[in-house]
Formats: sequence, C-alpha cells, structure tokens
Amino acid sequence: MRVRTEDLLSVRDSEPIDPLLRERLTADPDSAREIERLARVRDDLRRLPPIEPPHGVWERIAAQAARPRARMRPALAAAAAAVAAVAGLLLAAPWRAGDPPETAGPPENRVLPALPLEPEAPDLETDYARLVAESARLELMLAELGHTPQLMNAGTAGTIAELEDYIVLVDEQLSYAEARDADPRYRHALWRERVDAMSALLHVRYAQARTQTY
Amino acid sequence: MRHPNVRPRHPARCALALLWAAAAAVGSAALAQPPRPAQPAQPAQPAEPAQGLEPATPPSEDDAARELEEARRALESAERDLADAERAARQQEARDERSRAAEERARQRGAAQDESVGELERARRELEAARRNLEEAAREVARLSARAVGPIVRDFRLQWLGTGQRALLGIVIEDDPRGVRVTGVSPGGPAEEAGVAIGDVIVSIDGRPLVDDGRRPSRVLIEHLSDIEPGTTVALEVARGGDVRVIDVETREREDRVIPFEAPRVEVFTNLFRQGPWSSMELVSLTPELGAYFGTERGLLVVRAPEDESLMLEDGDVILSINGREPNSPEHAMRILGTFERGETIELTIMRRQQQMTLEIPVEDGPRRGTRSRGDSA
Repeated sequence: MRVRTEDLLSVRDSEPIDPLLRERLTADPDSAREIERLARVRDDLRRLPPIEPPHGVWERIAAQAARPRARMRPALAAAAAAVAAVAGLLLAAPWRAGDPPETAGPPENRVLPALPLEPEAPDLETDYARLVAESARLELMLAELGHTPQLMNAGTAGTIAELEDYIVLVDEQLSYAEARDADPRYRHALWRERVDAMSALLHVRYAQARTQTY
Repeated sequence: MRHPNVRPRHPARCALALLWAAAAAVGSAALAQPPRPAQPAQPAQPAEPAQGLEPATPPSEDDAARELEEARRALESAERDLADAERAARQQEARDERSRAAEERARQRGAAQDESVGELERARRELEAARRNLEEAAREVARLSARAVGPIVRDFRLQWLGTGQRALLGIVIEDDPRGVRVTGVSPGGPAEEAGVAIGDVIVSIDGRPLVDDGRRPSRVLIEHLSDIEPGTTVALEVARGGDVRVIDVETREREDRVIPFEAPRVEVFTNLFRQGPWSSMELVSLTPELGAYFGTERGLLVVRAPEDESLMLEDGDVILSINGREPNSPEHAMRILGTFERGETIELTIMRRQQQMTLEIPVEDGPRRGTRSRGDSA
C-alpha cells in the first residue's frame, strides 16, 4: 500500500477521510508509527517558545518614533503585528506539509504560499522585524517536513545541500554582524537574503516530499 | 590537528581565499560605520580570472531587484507547473489502476494497459522535468538574491572573510543578558543536527561563559570559534525554557569558495555532480531493516545507479564512505562530493552483494573511467 503524507496527517489531525483508508492506516504498523511521529513533531512545535523580537529592535523603533515622522505609528503597529504573528504561528503551528493554509481545493492543486512580497512601506526596522518573523516561519515549515530517510535524486540532493550551505554562510555573517555591532543595514540585507534562500529551499524540499510517491 | 572529516584545502581554493583575504584587507570600511553609498565594489575585483572564467559583473541595484522579482515569480510558476504535473501523474496512475482491475476484459485490458503504462511513463517524465525546472528556479532565486545585496553587503562579506573563523555552528545569534539568543538555526547545519533550536540561549561554550568581561557575548562566542579547528566538537550550555542543558555540536569548516551562489566559478565546481553524470543517481539512507539485506547497518543505498557506466556503481550498492567520510544522507553525500575538483580521485567504499570494495573514480570533464582498486570480504 502506498501511503501519502497527506493521508497520515489527516488521520493525525482527525480530519475527514475515507473511513476505509483510515482503518487501513491505523492498522498498518509502519503507518501507525509514522502518525505517532508526526503527532510528536506537532506537539514539539507547539511547545516551542514564542519568538522574541530581535534584540534592540524595540529600542530602535522607539528611538525612531521619537523623531517627528508621521508614519511611525503604523510602523510600530506593523512591527508588533509581525512579531505577534510569528509568536502565534509558533504556538499554533497550523501549517503542515501538503496543507498550506493559504490555499484551498484538492491536495494535488495546492501549492506553497507565495514568496514574501516587498512591503508597501519598507521602513528599515519594520521590515527587519518582518524578515525575522518570516525567516522563523520558514524554519518552522522546513522542520515540519522532517528528516526521515527519503529516496532522493542526486541532483535534488545536491541542490538542497548547496542551498543549505549557502544559508549556513549567511547565518554566520549575521552572527558576525551582531558581534561587531554592525550597521543595521547590513543585517537587514542579510536577513532579506536569508528569507529568499529559505524560501527557495522550502520549495525544493516541499517538492521532493510531495513527489516521493512517484 | 585537523579533524579527520575535514579535507585538506585544495591549492586553487587556498589561492582564491588569499585573494579574498587580500581584498578584505584593502577594503577599509569599518563594520560599525554606516555603509558607504552604493558604488561599484572595488574589493569584488579579485573574482577575476583565476580559471579563465568571466568575472561576475554586479548588476545595478535596480536591475538586480527586478531580476530577483522575476526569479521569484518564475519559482512560483514552477511550483504551479509541478503541481499540475503531479495531478496529471496521479490521474494517470488512477486510470492505470482501473485498467488493471478490469479482469473480465483481459485481452482488451492488456492492450489498454500497455497504452496506459506508456502514458504513465510519459507523465512521470514530465513530472521529473517539472521538478528539475523548479529546482533551477529555486537556485536562480538564491543566486540573484546573493547578487542583489549590492556593494554594501559585498564589502561586509569581505570583512567577514578576512577573519580567522573557519569553524561554523550554523546559527544566527543576538546578544542576550544571559549570553546569546538563537534567532535562527541553519537547516541542515551542525547546530540543527545537534538539536539547537530557535529561542535557545547559549550561556557558555566549552565551559567559557559568554557574559564574563563586559564584552558583547556574541563576540566572545565568535572569538572562541576562531580559536578552534573546524570539525572540533564544542559543548554549548543552553538555557531552554526553565532548563539548562549541554548540547555537543561538531563544527563544520567554512569552505574557501565561500558564497555558493555569488560567483559563477562555484557553479562550475558543484555542477560536476549536481548536473553531471552523477545526477541521475537515486539514493536513500539505509534503515536497520533495509541494512540487514545488504550486510551493513549504515550507508546510502544506491536505488538507481548513475546512467554513466564508467562510474562503476550498480543498483543495490551501498555507499559506506567517500574518501573516508561517511555520508549520513543523500544531501551529505552530495556535500562531500561537492568538495572534489577536477583532477582529484574519489574513493568510494561500497558494499556490493555483501562484499566490501573500493572504487576509484577520477573527477574530470569527459567520460570517466573508474577502476576497482581493491576488494575484500566484509
């Protein structure tokens, strides 16, 4: 019997599913173990602490708010919303492989959420918080895909390895920027680069996970 | 002492690293100072010609942003195409199954089945092509994003490259009153493999407190990493929730090639394996159950060998090590292979029909001619 992750997730989350299929999956020891593992992943993710805003971001926003700028209120609200959104996401962990919340319809029609768009008002601090939040969201998505052994084409494995290596290097630069108290614009640009690379990696790994059944 | 998993640096890479470092020394922008206005980055000059390649000409920031946005759209489009191809393959597979179920029309079913199987194969080929397109689109997003950062970050990178830190953890950190807070964990990186998570606060490294002398904790951590050899395992004391635990992380070496998607020359190196004759190979990590059939509990099972027979691998081989390094996943295997360059020889230790042997495969552009150098019983 070929088992699809979507079906296992449906059983895990007690969602409507063909009763016959549910019975077969719960009776199959391998499937039952995988459902248990998926449940543990979900529970672990829900136990993650809410991410805190980047160190010093509130001070920077407050300092900027003290300056006479008309649109600082919306900027504050947007920054708070971005951080709150990721905190809520970490607690609820609603996304899962094969079931992105932004899309509806039959599973085969579902695609990944759109890549992050440019903000309407690219205020540095606001956008910085947004990028950090988006980065955490992408990490969560990747974690949900898991690391169970998968049959993998070498070309795909090479692409994943390259993207992962690239992200490691961007991350090290971000840490170095923190250690040297570098100008926020460096960090902003690097976080943007990280989000792009994480999005690209997620697309590849998501496609790899989906095509496992073929 | 170098870690056994760390390959000696290739002379060409050392030369490249020296060029980068020299450029870093020339670039005088102080990190704590505001970045310079956008202008052509002088330190990018060293990307010139070591191997007859065209130098990377940084696009203007507007052009780079536009190209990146187009690449993002192309990735979305590739994602939709892949979903379409999956749906088509799934539908074809369902038709194929229905066809097989029609036992009362055996002869007719046989003909229909042949036709159906052909359609299924075609659908699978299209699915594979869609997947490859998506991967290329993803790589294009990464490549353009790396190039779109402009001279500001390129200068910063050169500063970073000039540092002595070669041992990597794969985390993003921010200073915290107790040490450093982890705000990002690199997927597939050393810290993730060891279990470090977002929100962890690293209090000490190898017993050295990060908050000790008034300096930035992040700086203390970075300096410690600069003092150790890549491959060294470090003990991170981590506060998570109300608990404190010690997580051992085996650091990874920073490759001299540095930014994988920024310089065209790097594409040439990695493409030897990602797009070359190795790319058709299919691998899966052995589970204990699978391993019992192959006479080993570890390694990567070659489910489909490379189409290029000169690479000598066969379906059913189990790759135990690559020049002494044991791959723990297909991605890890490709990461190891990606460190080889033309002229070097790959030594694959494999299990074949429960017999251990070593294949020696030269890395070259043209058709490869591997040799089975030695074999011994498992």
